[in-house]
Amino acid sequence: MNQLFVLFVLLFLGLTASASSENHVSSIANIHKKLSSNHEGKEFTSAVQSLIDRVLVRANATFQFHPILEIIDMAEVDGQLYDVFEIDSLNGKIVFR
Amino acid sequence: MEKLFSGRKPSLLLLLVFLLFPVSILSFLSGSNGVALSTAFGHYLRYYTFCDFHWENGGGNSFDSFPRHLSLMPVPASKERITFLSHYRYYQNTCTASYSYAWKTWKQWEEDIDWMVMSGINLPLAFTGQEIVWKKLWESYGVSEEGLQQYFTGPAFLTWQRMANIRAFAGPLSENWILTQGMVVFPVRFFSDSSFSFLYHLRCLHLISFFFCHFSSSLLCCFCRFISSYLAELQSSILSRYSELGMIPVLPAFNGVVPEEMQTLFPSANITRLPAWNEFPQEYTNDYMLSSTDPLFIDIGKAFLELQFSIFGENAKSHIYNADTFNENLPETSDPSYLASSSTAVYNSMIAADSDAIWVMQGWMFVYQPYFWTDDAIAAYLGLFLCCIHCYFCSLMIVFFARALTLTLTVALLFLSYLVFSLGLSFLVFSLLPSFH
Repeated sequence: MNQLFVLFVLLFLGLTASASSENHVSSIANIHKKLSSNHEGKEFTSAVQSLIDRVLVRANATFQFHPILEIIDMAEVDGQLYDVFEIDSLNGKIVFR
Repeated sequence: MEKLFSGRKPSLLLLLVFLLFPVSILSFLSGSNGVALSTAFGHYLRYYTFCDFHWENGGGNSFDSFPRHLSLMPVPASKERITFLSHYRYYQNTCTASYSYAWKTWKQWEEDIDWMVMSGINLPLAFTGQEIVWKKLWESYGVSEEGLQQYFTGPAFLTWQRMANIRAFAGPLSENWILTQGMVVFPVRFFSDSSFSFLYHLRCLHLISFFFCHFSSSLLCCFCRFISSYLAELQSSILSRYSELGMIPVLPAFNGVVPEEMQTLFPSANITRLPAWNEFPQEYTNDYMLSSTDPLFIDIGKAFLELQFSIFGENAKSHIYNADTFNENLPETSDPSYLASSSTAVYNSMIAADSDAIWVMQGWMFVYQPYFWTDDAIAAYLGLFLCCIHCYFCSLMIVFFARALTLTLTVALLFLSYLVFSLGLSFLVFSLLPSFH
C-alpha cells in the first residue's frame, strides 16, 4: 500500500513538472508572438536588396547583384521555432536559401 | 523580379527564368525573415568571398577580396544550413548611446545597422533622440526651460543622466548640439541615393516652409523646433530601417528620474534625492527620483510611452522597452515587498500604454552591488512576472528527475506485469499438463 502511495506521488510530481515545463515553453512562445506581431506578413525582399546594393557600393563592385530573395519556414528545434538560412548551389550557381 | 519570386517555394517558372538568365539572376537568397536573409548575405560575404566588415572604429570594412566580376562570385560546394542558436540576438549596452553614438550621423548609423543585420542581430537598443520625448513630457508637467537645463547633461553623458547617476554635467543640452546633429543629418540624408524618397523631401520642404513662415515671430523658437524635427527624423530613420529589415527595437521607458522642479510642482509626490554617484560634485549628482510606489509614477510612465508613440509613430511600438531603475544606486530598502512593488510599478506603467509590453533591463546592478542584490532580493524584484535563472534551472532539474523516476517505475510496472502474466500462464499450463496424461 505504501509503495502504491509513493508511486502516485511520483506520478503526480512527474505530471506537475511536465506541466511546468510546458508553461515555460508557452510563455516563451507568448513573448515571441508579441515581438513578431509587428513583422507578420511583411515583405522584406526589397529592404534586403537595398542592403545588398549598399554593401556593393562600399565594396566598389563594378556589377549589379540581384539574387532571388526567398522567405522559408523557420526551423523547429525541440518544439520551438528558430530563425534559419541556407546557402547552396543549383546547377553550378550559388543558392542562398 | 524579387516580388515575383518572393513566394515560399521555388516554382518551375522561377527555375525556367533562372536557366534563361543565368548572369542577371545569379543566386537565390533565402531565410526565415529579413534578418535571416541579411545574415545569409553577411555569411556569404565573410566565408565565401572572404570580405570582412566591422564597427567603424573596430576595423571598418575590408572588401579587398570582393570579386571584380559577377562570374567570379564563389559557388558553395555543398548546401549549408544554419539555424540560429537563440530567438533574440540583443545588441548595445545602454552606455553605448553615449560612448559611441552621441555624434553619429545617419550615414554612420546606416552602416552600423547594416553590420548589425548581417551579423544576425534582431534586438537592438533604440535610444537616439529620446530627449525630444523627455523635453515635451516634462514641459507638459510644467517644468520650465531653466528646470530642464538643470536636468539634461551634455550629449556624451546623457546615458548616466537617464539612469539617475548625474544631472546637468557638461550641460545644458544646448541647441547647438541639436543644431549640429541636424546639420549633419540633413545633407547626408538629402543627397543619399539609398535614402532618397519623395516623402522625405516633402517633409524637408514642409520644414523649410515652416521655418520661413515663422521667421518673423521668433527665430530661436522656430529654429529649435526645426532642428528638433531633425533629431526625431534621425530616430525615425533608424526605427524605420529596423522595421524594414525585420528587427525589433528596444525603446526607452520611464525609470523614475525626474527634474528637480517636479518637487515644487508636485509637493505631495514621494520624490527623494539619491546619494552622490562616483564622487561627482553635488550640483551634478544626487539625482531626484520619484518613488515607483507613488501613483504619479504610472501616470508619467504611461504618458512618456504614449508621447514616444506619437512622435516616432508605429515603429516605436515594438512592445519591448528598457528601464534601468537602480543602476549603481541602491533602493531605499531591501524589504522584499518594496522591491516587488517597485518593479511592479515600472511594469504597470508600461502596460498602461502598451498592453503587450515586455520589460528588458540590464543585469549590471545585480553584479555591481552583490551585497545588496542577494538571491532573495533579486527574486523579489523579478519574481512577480519573470522567472529567475535559478528557478529555471531548478524546474529543469525537477522535470529531469521526475521524468526519470516516472519512466523507471513505468518500466518496472510493465516488467512486473509481464512476470505475473508469465508465472500465471506457466502455472496454468503446468496445472493442465497432468490432465493430458
